Amino acid sequence: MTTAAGSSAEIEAYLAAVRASLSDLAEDERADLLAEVEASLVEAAGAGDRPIASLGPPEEFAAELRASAGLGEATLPVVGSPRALDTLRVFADEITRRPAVVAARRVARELAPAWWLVRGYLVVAAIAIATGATWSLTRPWLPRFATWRVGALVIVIGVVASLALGLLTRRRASGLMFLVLAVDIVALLAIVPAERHVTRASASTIVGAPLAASAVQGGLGLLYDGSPVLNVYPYSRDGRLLHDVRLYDNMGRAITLPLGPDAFRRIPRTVSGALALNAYPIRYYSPGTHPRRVAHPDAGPSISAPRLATPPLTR
Amino acid sequence: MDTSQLLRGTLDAAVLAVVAERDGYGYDVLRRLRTAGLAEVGDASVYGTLRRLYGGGALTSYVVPSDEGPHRRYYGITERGQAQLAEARASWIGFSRALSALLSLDVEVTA
Repeated sequence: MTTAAGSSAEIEAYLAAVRASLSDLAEDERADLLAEVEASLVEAAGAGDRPIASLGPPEEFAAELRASAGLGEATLPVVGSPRALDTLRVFADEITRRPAVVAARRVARELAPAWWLVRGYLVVAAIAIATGATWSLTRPWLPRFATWRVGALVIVIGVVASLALGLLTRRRASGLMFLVLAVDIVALLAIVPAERHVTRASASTIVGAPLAASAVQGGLGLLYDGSPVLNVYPYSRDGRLLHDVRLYDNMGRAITLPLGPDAFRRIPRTVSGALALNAYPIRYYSPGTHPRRVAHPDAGPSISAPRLATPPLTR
Repeated sequence: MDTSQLLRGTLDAAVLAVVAERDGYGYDVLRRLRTAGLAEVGDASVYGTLRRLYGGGALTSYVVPSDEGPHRRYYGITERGQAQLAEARASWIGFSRALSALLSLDVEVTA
Protein backbone atom coordinates (compact mmCIF):
# COMPACT_ATOMS: atom_id res chain seq x y z
CA MET A 1 0.00 0.00 0.00
CA THR A 2 1.22 3.48 -0.80
CA THR A 3 1.61 6.01 1.97
CA ALA A 4 -0.33 9.24 1.76
CA ALA A 5 2.85 11.21 1.11
CA GLY A 6 3.97 8.78 -1.52
CA SER A 7 0.58 8.95 -3.23
CA SER A 8 0.61 12.70 -3.15
CA ALA A 9 4.03 12.90 -4.80
CA GLU A 10 3.00 10.29 -7.33
CA ILE A 11 -0.16 12.20 -8.18
CA GLU A 12 1.77 15.45 -8.49
CA ALA A 13 4.25 13.91 -10.89
CA TYR A 14 1.52 12.26 -12.94
CA LEU A 15 -0.50 15.48 -13.14
CA ALA A 16 2.59 17.44 -14.19
CA ALA A 17 3.16 15.04 -17.05
CA VAL A 18 -0.50 15.21 -18.12
CA ARG A 19 -0.37 18.99 -17.87
CA ALA A 20 2.66 19.08 -20.12
CA SER A 21 0.83 16.99 -22.71
CA LEU A 22 -2.04 19.47 -22.68
CA SER A 23 0.17 22.55 -22.90
CA ASP A 24 -1.41 23.71 -26.16
CA LEU A 25 -4.80 24.20 -24.50
CA ALA A 26 -5.92 27.53 -23.08
CA GLU A 27 -4.80 27.90 -19.49
CA ASP A 28 -8.30 28.09 -18.02
CA GLU A 29 -9.44 25.07 -19.94
CA ARG A 30 -6.45 23.00 -18.94
CA ALA A 31 -6.82 24.05 -15.32
CA ASP A 32 -10.50 23.04 -15.36
CA LEU A 33 -9.75 19.64 -16.83
CA LEU A 34 -6.90 18.93 -14.44
CA ALA A 35 -8.76 20.16 -11.37
CA GLU A 36 -11.30 17.44 -12.07
CA VAL A 37 -8.61 14.79 -12.47
CA GLU A 38 -6.66 15.90 -9.43
CA ALA A 39 -9.70 15.82 -7.16
CA SER A 40 -10.55 12.33 -8.37
CA LEU A 41 -7.01 10.99 -7.99
CA VAL A 42 -6.71 12.41 -4.49
CA GLU A 43 -9.99 10.80 -3.49
CA ALA A 44 -9.04 7.47 -5.05
CA ALA A 45 -5.71 7.58 -3.20
CA GLY A 46 -7.49 8.43 0.02
CA ALA A 47 -9.83 5.47 -0.46
CA GLY A 48 -6.80 3.17 -0.47
CA ASP A 49 -6.80 2.50 -4.22
CA ARG A 50 -3.67 2.85 -6.22
CA PRO A 51 -5.04 4.76 -9.16
CA ILE A 52 -1.86 5.84 -10.91
CA ALA A 53 -0.94 2.30 -11.85
CA SER A 54 -4.27 1.79 -13.56
CA LEU A 55 -4.27 5.06 -15.47
CA GLY A 56 -1.62 4.15 -18.02
CA PRO A 57 1.07 6.50 -19.36
CA PRO A 58 0.24 10.18 -18.75
CA GLU A 59 0.54 10.99 -22.46
CA GLU A 60 -2.15 8.40 -23.29
CA PHE A 61 -4.31 9.61 -20.42
CA ALA A 62 -4.03 13.19 -21.73
CA ALA A 63 -4.86 12.09 -25.26
CA GLU A 64 -7.95 10.22 -24.05
CA LEU A 65 -9.00 13.16 -21.87
CA ARG A 66 -8.60 15.52 -24.80
CA ALA A 67 -10.51 13.27 -27.21
CA SER A 68 -13.38 12.67 -24.79
CA ALA A 69 -13.68 16.37 -24.07
CA GLY A 70 -13.96 16.99 -27.81
CA LEU A 71 -10.87 19.15 -27.94
CA GLY A 72 -9.20 17.56 -30.96
CA GLU A 73 -5.62 16.43 -31.25
CA ALA A 74 -2.66 18.28 -29.82
CA THR A 75 -1.44 21.17 -31.93
CA LEU A 76 2.19 21.67 -31.10
CA PRO A 77 4.42 24.15 -32.90
CA VAL A 78 6.64 22.57 -35.55
CA VAL A 79 9.73 24.59 -34.71
CA GLY A 80 12.42 23.11 -32.48
CA SER A 81 13.13 19.52 -31.63
CA PRO A 82 10.54 17.56 -29.64
CA ARG A 83 13.05 17.03 -26.87
CA ALA A 84 13.76 20.75 -26.60
CA LEU A 85 10.04 21.49 -26.58
CA ASP A 86 9.44 18.95 -23.87
CA THR A 87 12.21 20.49 -21.78
CA LEU A 88 10.75 23.94 -22.31
CA ARG A 89 7.25 22.72 -21.42
CA VAL A 90 8.43 21.04 -18.24
CA PHE A 91 10.33 24.20 -17.29
CA ALA A 92 7.27 26.36 -17.93
CA ASP A 93 5.22 23.90 -15.97
CA GLU A 94 7.61 24.13 -13.04
CA ILE A 95 7.34 27.92 -13.09
CA THR A 96 3.56 27.95 -13.21
CA ARG A 97 3.35 25.57 -10.25
CA ARG A 98 5.39 27.75 -7.91
CA PRO A 99 3.26 28.97 -4.97
CA ALA A 100 3.80 32.67 -5.73
CA VAL A 101 2.85 32.20 -9.38
CA VAL A 102 -0.16 30.07 -8.43
CA ALA A 103 -1.30 32.74 -5.94
CA ALA A 104 -0.80 35.53 -8.49
CA ARG A 105 -2.77 33.63 -11.10
CA ARG A 106 -5.56 32.98 -8.62
CA VAL A 107 -5.77 36.70 -7.86
CA ALA A 108 -5.65 37.53 -11.59
CA ARG A 109 -8.44 35.06 -12.23
CA GLU A 110 -10.60 36.65 -9.54
CA LEU A 111 -9.91 40.14 -10.87
CA ALA A 112 -10.53 39.15 -14.49
CA PRO A 113 -14.22 40.22 -14.52
CA ALA A 114 -13.18 43.75 -13.50
CA TRP A 115 -10.77 43.84 -16.44
CA TRP A 116 -13.51 42.60 -18.76
CA LEU A 117 -15.68 45.57 -17.73
CA VAL A 118 -12.87 48.06 -18.26
CA ARG A 119 -11.87 46.37 -21.51
CA GLY A 120 -15.37 46.85 -22.95
CA TYR A 121 -15.24 50.57 -22.26
CA LEU A 122 -11.68 50.93 -23.55
CA VAL A 123 -12.52 49.27 -26.87
CA VAL A 124 -15.42 51.72 -27.35
CA ALA A 125 -13.08 54.59 -26.42
CA ALA A 126 -10.54 53.30 -28.95
CA ILE A 127 -13.22 53.29 -31.66
CA ALA A 128 -14.24 56.85 -30.71
CA ILE A 129 -10.64 58.06 -30.83
CA ALA A 130 -9.91 56.26 -34.10
CA THR A 131 -13.02 57.62 -35.81
CA GLY A 132 -12.56 61.14 -34.45
CA ALA A 133 -15.92 61.08 -32.69
CA THR A 134 -16.79 64.02 -30.44
CA TRP A 135 -17.14 63.57 -26.69
CA SER A 136 -19.73 64.85 -24.29
CA LEU A 137 -18.64 68.11 -22.68
CA THR A 138 -20.54 67.49 -19.45
CA ARG A 139 -19.42 63.86 -19.22
CA PRO A 140 -15.91 63.80 -20.69
CA TRP A 141 -15.72 60.00 -20.43
CA LEU A 142 -18.72 59.59 -22.74
CA PRO A 143 -18.04 59.49 -26.50
CA ARG A 144 -20.78 60.76 -28.78
CA PHE A 145 -21.78 58.63 -31.73
CA ALA A 146 -24.28 61.07 -33.27
CA THR A 147 -25.74 61.65 -29.77
CA TRP A 148 -24.55 60.92 -26.26
CA ARG A 149 -27.36 58.41 -25.85
CA VAL A 150 -26.00 56.31 -28.71
CA GLY A 151 -22.55 56.66 -27.13
CA ALA A 152 -23.89 55.35 -23.81
CA LEU A 153 -25.65 52.49 -25.59
CA VAL A 154 -22.47 51.55 -27.45
CA ILE A 155 -20.59 51.48 -24.13
CA VAL A 156 -23.21 49.17 -22.60
CA ILE A 157 -23.01 46.89 -25.64
CA GLY A 158 -19.20 46.92 -25.50
CA VAL A 159 -19.12 46.03 -21.81
CA VAL A 160 -21.69 43.23 -22.18
CA ALA A 161 -19.85 41.82 -25.20
CA SER A 162 -16.56 41.94 -23.31
CA LEU A 163 -18.09 40.13 -20.32
CA ALA A 164 -19.59 37.48 -22.60
CA LEU A 165 -16.23 37.01 -24.30
CA GLY A 166 -14.54 36.66 -20.92
CA LEU A 167 -17.02 34.05 -19.73
CA LEU A 168 -16.73 32.12 -23.00
CA THR A 169 -12.96 32.22 -22.73
CA ARG A 170 -13.09 30.88 -19.21
CA ARG A 171 -15.16 27.95 -20.39
CA ARG A 172 -13.69 27.06 -23.74
CA ALA A 173 -11.01 29.34 -25.02
CA SER A 174 -9.17 27.53 -27.77
CA GLY A 175 -11.25 28.94 -30.64
CA LEU A 176 -11.34 32.48 -29.25
CA MET A 177 -7.73 32.89 -28.22
CA PHE A 178 -6.73 35.18 -31.10
CA LEU A 179 -9.90 37.26 -30.81
CA VAL A 180 -9.33 37.75 -27.08
CA LEU A 181 -5.70 38.63 -27.70
CA ALA A 182 -6.65 41.21 -30.34
CA VAL A 183 -9.32 42.78 -28.12
CA ASP A 184 -6.96 42.90 -25.15
CA ILE A 185 -4.26 44.60 -27.24
CA VAL A 186 -6.71 47.21 -28.57
CA ALA A 187 -7.94 47.88 -25.03
CA LEU A 188 -4.41 48.16 -23.64
CA LEU A 189 -3.37 50.53 -26.44
CA ALA A 190 -6.42 52.71 -25.72
CA ILE A 191 -5.61 53.22 -22.03
CA VAL A 192 -3.18 56.13 -22.46
CA PRO A 193 -5.07 58.14 -25.14
CA ALA A 194 -8.41 57.60 -23.38
CA GLU A 195 -6.97 58.66 -20.03
CA ARG A 196 -5.34 61.73 -21.63
CA HIS A 197 -8.55 62.68 -23.36
CA VAL A 198 -10.68 62.40 -20.21
CA THR A 199 -8.13 64.29 -18.11
CA ARG A 200 -7.79 67.08 -20.68
CA ALA A 201 -11.52 67.33 -21.31
CA SER A 202 -12.27 67.43 -17.57
CA ALA A 203 -9.72 70.20 -17.07
CA SER A 204 -11.04 72.32 -19.94
CA THR A 205 -14.63 71.83 -18.83
CA ILE A 206 -13.88 73.00 -15.33
CA VAL A 207 -11.40 75.79 -16.05
CA GLY A 208 -13.10 77.07 -19.17
CA ALA A 209 -11.62 78.36 -22.41
CA PRO A 210 -7.87 77.84 -22.33
CA LEU A 211 -7.16 80.76 -24.68
CA ALA A 212 -6.18 84.07 -23.08
CA ALA A 213 -7.91 83.28 -19.82
CA SER A 214 -6.30 86.34 -18.25
CA ALA A 215 -7.69 88.68 -20.89
CA VAL A 216 -11.25 87.43 -20.97
CA GLN A 217 -13.04 85.56 -18.26
CA GLY A 218 -13.41 81.93 -19.23
CA GLY A 219 -16.74 80.14 -19.60
CA LEU A 220 -18.01 76.58 -19.58
CA GLY A 221 -18.92 76.52 -23.24
CA LEU A 222 -22.37 76.27 -24.72
CA LEU A 223 -24.44 73.17 -25.25
CA TYR A 224 -27.47 72.65 -27.42
CA ASP A 225 -29.34 69.45 -26.52
CA GLY A 226 -26.07 68.06 -25.22
CA SER A 227 -24.09 68.95 -28.35
CA PRO A 228 -21.30 71.54 -28.15
CA VAL A 229 -22.05 74.84 -29.86
CA LEU A 230 -19.17 75.78 -32.17
CA ASN A 231 -20.29 79.23 -33.25
CA VAL A 232 -23.04 81.81 -32.62
CA TYR A 233 -24.74 83.91 -35.27
CA PRO A 234 -26.53 87.01 -33.93
CA TYR A 235 -29.08 88.72 -36.18
CA SER A 236 -30.48 92.27 -35.99
CA ARG A 237 -34.15 93.28 -35.82
CA ASP A 238 -34.27 93.59 -39.57
CA GLY A 239 -32.76 90.15 -40.17
CA ARG A 240 -29.16 91.11 -40.93
CA LEU A 241 -26.22 89.07 -39.66
CA LEU A 242 -24.28 91.09 -37.08
CA HIS A 243 -20.55 90.93 -36.57
CA ASP A 244 -18.37 91.13 -33.47
CA VAL A 245 -21.29 90.94 -31.08
CA ARG A 246 -20.00 90.29 -27.56
CA LEU A 247 -22.07 88.01 -25.35
CA TYR A 248 -22.21 87.86 -21.54
CA ASP A 249 -24.29 85.70 -19.22
CA ASN A 250 -26.49 86.71 -16.28
CA MET A 251 -23.42 86.91 -14.01
CA GLY A 252 -21.62 89.23 -16.37
CA ARG A 253 -19.23 86.53 -17.49
CA ALA A 254 -18.02 86.48 -21.05
CA ILE A 255 -19.61 83.60 -22.93
CA THR A 256 -16.81 81.84 -24.74
CA LEU A 257 -16.53 78.52 -26.50
CA PRO A 258 -13.90 75.98 -25.47
CA LEU A 259 -12.27 75.81 -28.88
CA GLY A 260 -8.68 74.78 -29.29
CA PRO A 261 -5.97 77.19 -30.49
CA ASP A 262 -6.33 78.04 -34.17
CA ALA A 263 -3.81 80.29 -35.97
CA PHE A 264 -6.44 81.29 -38.54
CA ARG A 265 -9.09 82.36 -36.06
CA ARG A 266 -9.88 86.06 -36.13
CA ILE A 267 -10.02 87.22 -32.50
CA PRO A 268 -11.01 90.88 -32.12
CA ARG A 269 -9.16 92.94 -29.51
CA THR A 270 -10.39 95.61 -27.13
CA VAL A 271 -8.86 99.10 -27.11
CA SER A 272 -6.61 97.94 -24.30
CA GLY A 273 -5.38 95.09 -26.44
CA ALA A 274 -7.25 92.29 -24.59
CA LEU A 275 -8.61 89.44 -26.66
CA ALA A 276 -12.40 89.38 -27.01
CA LEU A 277 -13.04 85.67 -27.15
CA ASN A 278 -16.76 86.26 -26.69
CA ALA A 279 -17.20 88.14 -29.98
CA TYR A 280 -19.53 86.38 -32.42
CA PRO A 281 -19.75 85.01 -34.98
CA ILE A 282 -16.26 83.59 -34.89
CA ARG A 283 -14.56 84.17 -38.23
CA TYR A 284 -11.46 82.62 -39.75
CA TYR A 285 -8.82 84.21 -41.98
CA SER A 286 -8.26 82.72 -45.41
CA PRO A 287 -4.86 80.99 -45.49
CA GLY A 288 -2.20 82.77 -47.56
CA THR A 289 -3.75 86.27 -47.48
CA HIS A 290 -1.53 89.32 -46.69
CA PRO A 291 -2.77 91.31 -44.95
CA ARG A 292 -4.93 88.64 -43.45
CA ARG A 293 -8.49 88.70 -44.68
CA VAL A 294 -11.75 86.89 -44.00
CA ALA A 295 -12.93 85.81 -47.43
CA HIS A 296 -16.63 85.41 -46.60
CA PRO A 297 -17.60 87.48 -43.54
CA ASP A 298 -21.28 86.54 -43.86
CA ALA A 299 -20.73 82.82 -44.30
CA GLY A 300 -22.81 80.65 -42.03
CA PRO A 301 -25.68 78.19 -41.84
CA SER A 302 -28.83 78.87 -43.81
CA ILE A 303 -30.79 80.94 -41.32
CA SER A 304 -34.20 82.50 -41.86
CA ALA A 305 -34.50 85.48 -39.46
CA PRO A 306 -37.59 87.47 -40.50
CA ARG A 307 -37.78 91.16 -39.66
CA LEU A 308 -39.25 91.76 -36.16
CA ALA A 309 -42.65 93.47 -36.07
CA THR A 310 -42.61 94.34 -32.36
CA PRO A 311 -41.55 97.99 -31.88
CA PRO A 312 -37.99 98.40 -30.65
CA LEU A 313 -37.30 99.08 -26.99
CA THR A 314 -36.80 102.68 -26.06
CA ARG A 315 -34.10 103.82 -23.68
CA MET B 1 -15.69 -9.04 -27.16
CA ASP B 2 -13.87 -5.70 -26.66
CA THR B 3 -16.51 -3.59 -24.93
CA SER B 4 -14.34 -0.47 -25.09
CA GLN B 5 -15.49 0.08 -28.69
CA LEU B 6 -19.12 -0.20 -27.61
CA LEU B 7 -18.47 2.22 -24.75
CA ARG B 8 -17.05 4.80 -27.11
CA GLY B 9 -20.41 5.39 -28.75
CA THR B 10 -22.55 5.10 -25.67
CA LEU B 11 -20.59 6.80 -22.91
CA ASP B 12 -22.50 10.07 -23.28
CA ALA B 13 -25.78 8.29 -22.61
CA ALA B 14 -24.29 6.31 -19.71
CA VAL B 15 -22.89 9.42 -18.03
CA LEU B 16 -26.13 11.34 -18.54
CA ALA B 17 -28.11 8.43 -17.07
CA VAL B 18 -25.89 8.31 -13.98
CA VAL B 19 -26.06 12.07 -13.41
CA ALA B 20 -29.82 12.10 -14.08
CA GLU B 21 -30.23 9.63 -11.24
CA ARG B 22 -28.28 11.84 -8.82
CA ASP B 23 -25.82 14.75 -9.11
CA GLY B 24 -22.24 13.58 -8.91
CA TYR B 25 -18.61 14.65 -9.19
CA GLY B 26 -16.02 13.11 -11.49
CA TYR B 27 -14.78 10.24 -9.39
CA ASP B 28 -18.26 9.54 -8.06
CA VAL B 29 -19.66 9.25 -11.60
CA LEU B 30 -16.77 6.97 -12.56
CA ARG B 31 -17.37 4.71 -9.57
CA ARG B 32 -21.10 4.49 -10.22
CA LEU B 33 -20.52 3.59 -13.87
CA ARG B 34 -18.15 0.80 -12.84
CA THR B 35 -20.51 -0.42 -10.16
CA ALA B 36 -23.24 -0.55 -12.81
CA GLY B 37 -21.13 -3.01 -14.78
CA LEU B 38 -19.06 -0.80 -17.06
CA ALA B 39 -15.82 -2.02 -15.50
CA GLU B 40 -13.68 -1.08 -18.50
CA VAL B 41 -14.66 2.55 -18.61
CA GLY B 42 -11.55 4.75 -18.45
CA ASP B 43 -10.99 7.59 -16.01
CA ALA B 44 -9.95 10.07 -18.68
CA SER B 45 -12.92 9.16 -20.86
CA VAL B 46 -15.35 9.93 -18.07
CA TYR B 47 -13.72 13.21 -17.01
CA GLY B 48 -13.45 14.38 -20.61
CA THR B 49 -17.04 13.38 -21.34
CA LEU B 50 -18.27 15.29 -18.29
CA ARG B 51 -16.46 18.42 -19.46
CA ARG B 52 -17.77 18.08 -23.00
CA LEU B 53 -21.36 17.52 -21.89
CA TYR B 54 -21.03 20.48 -19.55
CA GLY B 55 -19.60 22.62 -22.37
CA GLY B 56 -22.49 21.58 -24.59
CA GLY B 57 -25.07 22.62 -22.02
CA ALA B 58 -26.27 19.09 -21.20
CA LEU B 59 -24.90 19.36 -17.67
CA THR B 60 -24.70 22.11 -15.14
CA SER B 61 -22.03 22.25 -12.47
CA TYR B 62 -21.34 23.65 -9.04
CA VAL B 63 -18.43 23.45 -6.65
CA VAL B 64 -18.72 21.95 -3.18
CA PRO B 65 -15.83 22.66 -0.79
CA SER B 66 -14.19 19.64 0.74
CA ASP B 67 -12.18 19.53 3.97
CA GLU B 68 -10.36 16.39 2.92
CA GLY B 69 -8.88 17.57 -0.38
CA PRO B 70 -9.53 19.65 -3.48
CA HIS B 71 -13.02 21.07 -3.97
CA ARG B 72 -15.43 18.79 -5.75
CA ARG B 73 -17.16 19.92 -8.90
CA TYR B 74 -20.60 18.36 -8.96
CA TYR B 75 -22.53 17.91 -12.16
CA GLY B 76 -26.30 17.90 -12.56
CA ILE B 77 -28.38 17.29 -15.64
CA THR B 78 -30.08 20.17 -17.48
CA GLU B 79 -33.24 20.14 -19.56
CA ARG B 80 -31.10 19.87 -22.65
CA GLY B 81 -29.33 16.91 -21.07
CA GLN B 82 -32.67 15.27 -20.27
CA ALA B 83 -33.73 15.67 -23.89
CA GLN B 84 -30.39 14.27 -25.07
CA LEU B 85 -30.77 11.32 -22.70
CA ALA B 86 -34.32 10.61 -23.89
CA GLU B 87 -33.12 10.65 -27.48
CA ALA B 88 -30.20 8.35 -26.68
CA ARG B 89 -32.52 6.00 -24.81
CA ALA B 90 -34.88 5.74 -27.79
CA SER B 91 -31.98 5.20 -30.20
CA TRP B 92 -30.47 2.53 -27.99
CA ILE B 93 -33.73 0.64 -27.63
CA GLY B 94 -34.20 0.55 -31.38
CA PHE B 95 -30.59 -0.39 -32.00
CA SER B 96 -30.45 -3.10 -29.34
CA ARG B 97 -33.70 -4.63 -30.54
CA ALA B 98 -32.43 -4.77 -34.09
CA LEU B 99 -29.08 -6.20 -33.07
CA SER B 100 -30.65 -8.70 -30.67
CA ALA B 101 -32.94 -9.90 -33.43
CA LEU B 102 -30.07 -10.11 -35.84
CA LEU B 103 -27.84 -12.02 -33.45
CA SER B 104 -30.67 -14.38 -32.53
CA LEU B 105 -31.30 -15.00 -36.26
CA ASP B 106 -27.64 -15.67 -36.75
CA VAL B 107 -27.65 -18.20 -33.99
CA GLU B 108 -30.68 -19.98 -35.42
CA VAL B 109 -29.16 -20.12 -38.90
CA THR B 110 -25.81 -21.44 -37.82
CA ALA B 111 -27.13 -23.76 -35.15
